[in-house]
Amino acid sequence: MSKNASARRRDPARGMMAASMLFFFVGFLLLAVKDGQWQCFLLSLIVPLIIYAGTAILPRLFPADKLLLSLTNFLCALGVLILYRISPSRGLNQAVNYGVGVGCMVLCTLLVRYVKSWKTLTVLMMGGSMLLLSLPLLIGTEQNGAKNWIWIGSYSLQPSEIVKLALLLCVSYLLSQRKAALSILFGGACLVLLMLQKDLGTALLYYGLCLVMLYAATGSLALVGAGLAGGAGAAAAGYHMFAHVKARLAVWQDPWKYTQGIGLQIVRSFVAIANGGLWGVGLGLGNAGNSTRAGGIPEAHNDFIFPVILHEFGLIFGVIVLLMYLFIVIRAVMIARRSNTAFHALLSVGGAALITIQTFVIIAGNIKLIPLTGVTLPFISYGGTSMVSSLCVIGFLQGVASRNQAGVDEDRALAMQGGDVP
Amino acid sequence: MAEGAYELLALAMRYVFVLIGALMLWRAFRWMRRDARQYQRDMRTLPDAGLVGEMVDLQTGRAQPLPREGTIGSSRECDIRIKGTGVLRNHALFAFEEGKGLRVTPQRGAQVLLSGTPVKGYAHALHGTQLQLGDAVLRVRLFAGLDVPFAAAYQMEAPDIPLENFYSYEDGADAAPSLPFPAPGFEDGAAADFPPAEEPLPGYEGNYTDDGQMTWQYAYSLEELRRAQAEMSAQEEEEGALPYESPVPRRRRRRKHE
Amino acid sequence: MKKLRKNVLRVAFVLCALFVLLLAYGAYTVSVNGNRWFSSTLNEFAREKRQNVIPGRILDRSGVVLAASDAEGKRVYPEDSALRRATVHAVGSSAFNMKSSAEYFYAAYLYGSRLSFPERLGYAIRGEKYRGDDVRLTIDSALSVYIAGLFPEGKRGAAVVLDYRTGQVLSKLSFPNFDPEDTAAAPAGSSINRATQSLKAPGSTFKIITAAAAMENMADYQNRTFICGGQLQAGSRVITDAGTDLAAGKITQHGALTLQQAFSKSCNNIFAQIALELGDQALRKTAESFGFNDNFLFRDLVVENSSYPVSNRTEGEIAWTGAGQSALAVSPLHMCLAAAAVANDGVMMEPWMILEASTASGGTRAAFSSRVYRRPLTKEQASVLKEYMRTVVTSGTGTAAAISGVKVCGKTGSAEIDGQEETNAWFVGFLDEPDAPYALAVVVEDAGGGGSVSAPIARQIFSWLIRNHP
Repeated sequence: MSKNASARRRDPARGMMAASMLFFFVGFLLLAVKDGQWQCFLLSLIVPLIIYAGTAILPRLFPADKLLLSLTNFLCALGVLILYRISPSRGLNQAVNYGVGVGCMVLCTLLVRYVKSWKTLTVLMMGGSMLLLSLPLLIGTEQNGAKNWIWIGSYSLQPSEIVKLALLLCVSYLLSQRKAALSILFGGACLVLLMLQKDLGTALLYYGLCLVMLYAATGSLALVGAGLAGGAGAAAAGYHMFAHVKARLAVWQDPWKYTQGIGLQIVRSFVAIANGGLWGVGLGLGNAGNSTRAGGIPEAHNDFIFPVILHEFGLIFGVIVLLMYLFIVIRAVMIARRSNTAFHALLSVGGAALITIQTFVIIAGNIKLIPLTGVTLPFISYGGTSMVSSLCVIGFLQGVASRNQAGVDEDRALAMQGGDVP
Repeated sequence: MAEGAYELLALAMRYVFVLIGALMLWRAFRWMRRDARQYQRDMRTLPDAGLVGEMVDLQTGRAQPLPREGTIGSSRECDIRIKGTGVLRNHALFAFEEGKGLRVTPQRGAQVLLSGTPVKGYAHALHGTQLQLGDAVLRVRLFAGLDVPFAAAYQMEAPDIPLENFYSYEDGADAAPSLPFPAPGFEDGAAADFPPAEEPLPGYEGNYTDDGQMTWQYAYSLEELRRAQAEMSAQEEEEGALPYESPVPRRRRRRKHE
Repeated sequence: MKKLRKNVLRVAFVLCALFVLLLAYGAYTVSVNGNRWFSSTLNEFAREKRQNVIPGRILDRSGVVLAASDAEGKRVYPEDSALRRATVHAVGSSAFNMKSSAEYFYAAYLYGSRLSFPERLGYAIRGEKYRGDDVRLTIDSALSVYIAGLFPEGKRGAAVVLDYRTGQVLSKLSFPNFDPEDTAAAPAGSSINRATQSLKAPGSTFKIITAAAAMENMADYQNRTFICGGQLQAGSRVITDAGTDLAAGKITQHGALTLQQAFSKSCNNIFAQIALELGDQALRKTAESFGFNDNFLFRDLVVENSSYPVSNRTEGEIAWTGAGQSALAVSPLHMCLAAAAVANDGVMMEPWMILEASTASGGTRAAFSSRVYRRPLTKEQASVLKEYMRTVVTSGTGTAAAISGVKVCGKTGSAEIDGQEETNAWFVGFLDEPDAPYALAVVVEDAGGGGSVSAPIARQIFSWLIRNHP
C-alpha cells in the first residue's frame, strides 16, 4: 500500500469525519421520517457532504487545523439539527448562517496568517468599534430589555458581536506591545457603551476577556484583583440601576415563585432536563422546543437550546457536547503555547477565554448556577451574528495554528537542507 | 410514519447518538494526545525551532538561546537571564522584526547601550551587536538566512581600504557593496577597537558560514539528521499523517552574496 | 515569552476549572433536584395521557383495587359506591383536573411513560397496546370509607390521617365528594381537595406553634403564670375568648394560668399576650420552621403553600395571630403535619402517598421511602408539647376525643371565618402509642366549636385505628 494511502487510512481526522457524517445522516433521516418533508431528506444528504467538504477539502485550500475544524463542524451541524427539530425554518436559516460563517472563518484565518503589521489595523479597528458600538444607541431597536440590535433592511445585526472580535485583536496587539493602560482604556470604553445599551451579558463577556488577557500578558495578580473589585462594584451599581437585573436575581434565587412570569423559562427547562434523564426522550419526541405541545420552553432557540439538547439527547450526550467545547479550548491553549510571538499567543488565549466564558455563562444560567444573561451558546444558538463571530474566533485560532505550523515546517526544511545552501 | 413505530425508532436511536458522540470524543482525545507527542518529538529533533540565534554573556562566556520575542533581565522568568549590578528584574524587551533586525526596547528606568550608544525608545540589533546592560555585556548572534538589512553589525576583520578606493555608483550596480560603507567607527578608514574574529565556541559542533555566522545546523551532523528524518517518515507511515497539511511549500529567501 | 507561556498555562487551568465546575454543579443539581422537577405540577410532558395505552391499576395499601381499566383502556371503578366516593380525592378522575390525585400525579407510571425500551419493543412485536404500571398507594380504603360515613352530611370539610413515623398518608378525604362513575352529578366545587388545596385560618390549633415559639424564646415558660383578664386591648383590636358575648355582657375570664393550662383551655387572651411579648419576628421564625411560607415541593403530593402574613402587621393583627386568627392561611394537611411533628419527637416527615409502582407483569418498577421534611422542635420541646396536648384531651377543650386506656393527644380549634355564621371546627391530634403511630386533622366548615363537632369524629377515628392498625 502506498505511503499516502496508508497514512490517510490511519488519519484520525477521517475517523472523526466519518462518525460526524454518520451522526447527521441518521439524525436528519430520523427527522425526515417523522415529518415526511423532502427538505429534511435532502438535508440528511447535504449536511454530511458539507461536513466532508469542511473537514477534508477545505484544509487543502487554506492552512487549517483539522481537529479544530472537526469539532467545530460537529457543533455547528448539531445546532442546525436541533434547530430544525424545533422549527424547520429556523434550521434552514441556521444552515445558511453556518455557510456564511465558514466563509468568514476562512477570511479570518487568512487575515491572521498573512498580516505582518497589526499597528494600522488596530488603530482602524479601535475607531470602528467605538462607532459600531454607538450605532445601536442612535438607531437601534429594543429587544428583551436591551437595546443592542440594529436592523439593516430585513436583517438584524448585533454590533457587539462584531466588536467582540475587534476587541480581541486590539487588546492582543496592545498587550503584546506592552501598552496595558491603553488596552484597559479601550476595554473600559467598550464596557461603558455596552452598559448604556443595557447589554449586560455581552458586557460580562468583554469584562471577563479583558481580565483574562491582562493576566496572561502581565501576570500581575494585583491588576486582576483590582479588576475583580471594580467588576464587583460595577455589578452592585448595576443591581441598583437596572430593574431587570433585580428581577433576574430574584428569579435566580427562587424561580418557583415566579412561574407565571419570567421564571417560567427556567422552571420549564428544569422540567425538560428531568424528563430527559440520562438518555433523553428521543429526537423528535420531546416537548421542550416551544412546539405546539404544552410545556415547551419559550424562546428556546436562543438561550435555552442546551436544555433542549439535554431533553432530547440526554444528559450523557450533554456532557459529551460540553467536553467537545472543552477540547476546543484545550486545543486553543496548545496553539497559544506553541506560537512564537506574543501577539499570536495572546490572540489564541483570548479566543479560548471567549469560548469558555460564553459557554460557561449560558449553560450556568440554564442550570441556575448564575442568573440568566443575554449571552448565546457559541456555534449552536440561533443567530447569524453569533454564529459568524464564533466561527471567526475559530478562524483566528486556525490562523495562529497555521503560522505555527509554517514556522515548524520552515525550520524542518532548513534542517534538512543543512543550513543555508549556497 | 406511525407514531408508535417512530417512537420505538427514536428511542433506539438515542443510544446510537450517544455512542457516536462518545466515539468522536474518544478519537479527538487520542488525536490531541498523539499530536502533542509528535510535536514534542519534532521539537527534540529541531532544537533551534522558534529561535533566531543566541545571546552570549561576554562576562561568563555562556550563550543563551534567543527566542523570537522575549525579555532580558535578572528575574528568573526572563527569557535571557543576566546577573550583574545594574541589571533590573525586567530590563529590556526584544523582538525580532522581519527586515529590521532584533528590536531592543529598554523598560522604564533601564539603560541599554547598543554598540556604545544609549538606546532611546528602541533600537535594532544585528548579528554581532554588543549590548551593555548595567555591568553586563552581551553579544547578539543571529542565524544566517534571517531577513535582516545587513548580515552583520561589524566586519570580522576591519578591511584596510583607503578611502580613494571607495566605490562609486557609476561603476555599476554590481559594484555596490552590501555593507554600509563606511561602517560606523570606520570613517577614518582605520579599524576601530573591535574584538578579534570569533573562535568557535567549545562544545559547538555545527557549521559556520564564511563570515562567522552559525548556520541552522546544530548538535547533529547532516548524516544523523537525515537518519532521523528517515525514521520519522517511517513512523509517520505507521501512525498516520500529522494534523496539519502544509500549504504550498515556501522557499527560504536566500541571503545575497556579495 | 517564557513568562507568557507560563501565564497561558495558568489561564488554561482556570478555564478548565470553569468547565469542571459546570459539570460538577450540573451533576449535583440534577441528582438532588431531579425528582422534584419531574414530580412538579409543571411537568406536563410526563402527564400526557397517551393514546393506545391501557392504564395501570390503582390499589390501596392492602391491595384493594380502587381503579382498574377495561380492555379498551377506559377506567373502571369498584362496585361499592361508598368506596368510590371515599377514595375519589386520592385516586382522582380524568373528568376533573385534580392535581393532587394519583391519576394525575402518577400518570407517568399509570400511562406507560416509564416502560423500558425492551418492554415497548415486546408490546410492539406482539401487536398489543402498552400496559401502564400499577400504582399502590399508602391509602387505607377501609379507613377512608369509615371516615366518610362519620362526617356530618351536607357540611364541607376535610380529614387527613397520617402515620407520623413514616409520613405515609393513610387517608385523605375532602367533602363534598363525588362519584367518579357519575361525574355529571358532581356538586360544584367537589373536585377541589380541601385537605391540601383549601387554605383557611387554623383557629386555636395554631396555638401549637405559638406555644413552640414561647418554649423557644422564653426561658421560664414552664413556671410562669399568665393572667387572663377577659378582654385584652391590643392596638385597635380587642381579644376575647370563646363564649364571650359582649352584647349580653358575658365575658369569659380564666384568671391566672400556667402555659400548660392556658393551652389546654385554649385561652386566646393569654396566647395573644404571648404573641405580643415574643414579637412578630420570633413568632414568624417558629412558624417558618414549621413550614409556613415555604414552597412545598414534595416529591409526591401537591400541597398549597401555607402562609404566615408578612405585611400589615399591626399590634392587633399580631395578637390575633397568636391565637390563630388574622391572615394566617393553612391547609388541613399542614396542620396534621405540625401535630405529627410533635408526636414524632420534633421531626416532621414529608407526606407521601405512593408505596410502589409495579409493572404489569408483577415486577417492581419503583419503590419509595420516607424522607424528613423539617425538624421544627427538639426532642425535649416535643415531649413538653405532647404533655400539653395530652392535657387538652384529658381536661381541656378536647375531652370529647378521649378514649379510656389510650393516650390521645390533640388540640381543638374554632376558626372564625368572614361570611360564615358558625366557625370552622378544627381538631388536630395524634395517638401517643408505639404500635399505633397515627396523627390526624379533621376540619368541618361552618359547623361550630372544634371541641364539640370535630373532636368526637376524631375519637371515633382513633378507636377504629386502635382496633384495626392498618
